[in-house]
Amino acid sequence: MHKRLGVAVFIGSWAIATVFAAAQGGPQGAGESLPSGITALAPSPPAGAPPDPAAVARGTVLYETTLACAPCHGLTGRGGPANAPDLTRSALAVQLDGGRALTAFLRIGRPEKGMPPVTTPLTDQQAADLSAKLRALGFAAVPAPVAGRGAGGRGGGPPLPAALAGQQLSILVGDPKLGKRYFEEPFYQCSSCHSVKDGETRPAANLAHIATKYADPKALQNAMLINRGLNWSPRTNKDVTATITYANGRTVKGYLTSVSDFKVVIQNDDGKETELPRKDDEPKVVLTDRLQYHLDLLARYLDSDMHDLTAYLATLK
Amino acid sequence: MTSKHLSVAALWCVLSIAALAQTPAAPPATPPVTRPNQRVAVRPVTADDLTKPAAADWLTYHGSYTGNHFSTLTQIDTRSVANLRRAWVSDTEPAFAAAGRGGGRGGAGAGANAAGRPGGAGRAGAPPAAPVPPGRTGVGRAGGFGGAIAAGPIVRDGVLFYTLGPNAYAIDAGNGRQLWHYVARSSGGLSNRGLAIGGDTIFMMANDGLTALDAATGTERWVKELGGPVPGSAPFVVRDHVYVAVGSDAGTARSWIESRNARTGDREWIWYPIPKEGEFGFNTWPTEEEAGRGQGTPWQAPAYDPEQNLLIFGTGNPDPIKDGRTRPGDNLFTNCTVALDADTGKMAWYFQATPHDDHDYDNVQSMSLATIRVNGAERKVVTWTSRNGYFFTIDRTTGENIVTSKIFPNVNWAQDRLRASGTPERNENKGGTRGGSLVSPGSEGAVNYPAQSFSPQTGLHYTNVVNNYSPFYWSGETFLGTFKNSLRATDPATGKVAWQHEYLEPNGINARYASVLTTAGGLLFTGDISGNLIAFDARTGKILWHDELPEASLTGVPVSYTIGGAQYVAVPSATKVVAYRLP
Repeated sequence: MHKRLGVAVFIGSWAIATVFAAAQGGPQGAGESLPSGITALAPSPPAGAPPDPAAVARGTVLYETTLACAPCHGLTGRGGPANAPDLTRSALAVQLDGGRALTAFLRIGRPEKGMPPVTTPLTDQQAADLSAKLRALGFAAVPAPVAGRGAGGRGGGPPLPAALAGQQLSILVGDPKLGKRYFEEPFYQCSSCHSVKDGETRPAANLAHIATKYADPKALQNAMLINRGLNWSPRTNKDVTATITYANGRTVKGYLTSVSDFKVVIQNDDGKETELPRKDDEPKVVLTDRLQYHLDLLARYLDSDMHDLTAYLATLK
Repeated sequence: MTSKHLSVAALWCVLSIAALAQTPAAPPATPPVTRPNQRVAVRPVTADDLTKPAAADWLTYHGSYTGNHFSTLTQIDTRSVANLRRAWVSDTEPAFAAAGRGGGRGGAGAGANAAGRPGGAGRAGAPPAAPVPPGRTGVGRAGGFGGAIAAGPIVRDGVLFYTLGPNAYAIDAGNGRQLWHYVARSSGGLSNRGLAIGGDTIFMMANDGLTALDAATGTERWVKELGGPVPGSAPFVVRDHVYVAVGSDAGTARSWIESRNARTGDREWIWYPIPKEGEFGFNTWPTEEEAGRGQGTPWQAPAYDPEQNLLIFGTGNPDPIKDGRTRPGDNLFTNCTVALDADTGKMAWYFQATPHDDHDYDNVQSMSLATIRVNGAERKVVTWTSRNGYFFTIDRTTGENIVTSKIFPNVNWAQDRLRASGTPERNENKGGTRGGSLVSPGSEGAVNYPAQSFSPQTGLHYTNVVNNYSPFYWSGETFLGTFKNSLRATDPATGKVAWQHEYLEPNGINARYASVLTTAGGLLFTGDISGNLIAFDARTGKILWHDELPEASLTGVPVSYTIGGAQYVAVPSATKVVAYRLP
């Protein structure tokens, strides 16, 4: 018991020390650093009152469309796969100054990190709206105490004292309403291939009862990411099509069985295999993977969006 | 390391139970060796031989102390390689499985072998390797589990020594015929990675300890219990020291590397990658209790710098493996490259590749010692691609960083900003979380332990890499399939990719298990996942030659040697060693 308590106190003071160092803006010691691209951590929730919803709505258009912040920082502002900073934790982003500091920052951007400057100056109104949006994201990111969810909350929460704490809890930490939105909206485009209506046919699997098929939310999330295990091979299904083109223009097409630098093996609809030798990259082989969009999404998912999408799929029983 | 072992361990358990169900009542009393062992004539290997290895031999796992997996032989070159022919496929009696399986998983290894039955073949052993149809892909990992040769062979005076699980073989390197066969009572780890030779003694991680065999006959000289889980990594000899790593793959206690006297087997020193209270580096752990969970296992045989008398090697991940919440701090010296004095075990320097690892990114790759020009100045460096998706070059006299570069732009566990030390800084949003965080590299890593190579001729570093993702949860991770792999040539002075060969096969996730060999003939030998041994032009990456291997792709380390002036290239592949020479 004493040991447990000791660990908890230690972690607590470590976390406080980190925040304190950040607030001072002083040099950071090894192992105690701020998230990428953030110079000072925001208090959580942000200081002041929650912003005016009308301003937030206007700011959402700026954030998601006009200024295209969302593709890098995420619809929830919590950062992205290319290490774009979590804006909900950025003191600059949630500052209560009507967006003045923000405007000054945006004028320069962070070109060295791949963030271009905003070249058309924001009007005072736009700056205030964008600020309202970012502050709203800051408020939204505060984990709400939800019965049965433990201390984890969205995207984690403070460290737990025991090594295995939280592991028995469901991985469902997302917001199904947001997930439904992402499913339908252009950023993830799920609904352009998948239907969630019983009996409706779309190019990809109908997901109306996907949460019944994958009752375990972790299995559901993993199937959503890429429904292939380590030992998947193209020979096991017809996911991958090979288009084989010879120098003389002759083209052969089939489902891929296997391909190397020395031969390509394809099969037709009946499973009959054809083996074609290759040498010096001839004939050319172009592969079309039915799940290519899912593979591409791996680089685009924001973790919080992934959680929200999973939470939504988990409602499709 | 862990991920691989865990999944294979699960498979192994199933097969073991199946095997037990069919077990005859009593195991055979002696190892079921059917062919008479022959005496082999090899000259004792001196300290000088190891420091300046003759091109004709391949005396260590890495070929030489440099860790370069580079042969100075030139007979097979970019022109003559077109005529390279298969000379032989090894002809040995089948490998036998051990009663237990060493220290692959925590403390279980030692207990599992407590019975110590000699030659427990046919009991709960590892399954025999499933034959793979030629040219077949998607055959699973080529990592040497479940009865494939994961070893780096040793070649001395025309005799090739290797391991397969608890088996050690000596075969004629000119025709592949078995000379002697030794069966241990247990193998280190799940995949025994081979032997070391010093004097007339062969060293093997087996029998729950370090086992010394007579190189001439394969008879057991002594076995020294190591007092901890015995992994499969190859032992390593410098002068009259033999070095062995001890440790598990799931935390039970601190791992270590130790030095033993090569003649007597007596222990000389121990070095723990995880410091104890009061020692240097302990302030990167919260408490003794957390540090004591262990790991940091040095799974891969070291490189050795004779000028500085330093052993240089990588260390494994901390524990808990995917949940770092109870161990805030950098967790030194896990996931480091370290240099120890070969006589005293005192640490000269360290460089951490992954601070506070919670993705199983153990930094246990083969370390290449090279002398290169950096900004016009000659530098003595160590260079490697780490499992965490970064390429590193550091000064091997000081540990000072020269190059840290992402090998794929989408590597996302760390921030773009590096520490002043050159160590990547964690992106704390990308640790394991309850809901899962999507991380690259995934749990399989961008590379694993198989041999990387540096060619002093081209000045380039070579390795097979896979760009992949996994969602990480506190309670583990998920192995996602379907990622393509490529062979990379990297300039260690800049981290820039000189060339790469991308394989088309969509399920290349397991293809990074192919080790790499380069030669002074301007060649690079490695395997693809489709079961081919391929010779590339090391300078350009052009494919010059290939052969479809009889069983599977490379599972062990390719080596090169000569017999009677003829150069051979030999590669372990599943249950066979396959050798090539010019007509």
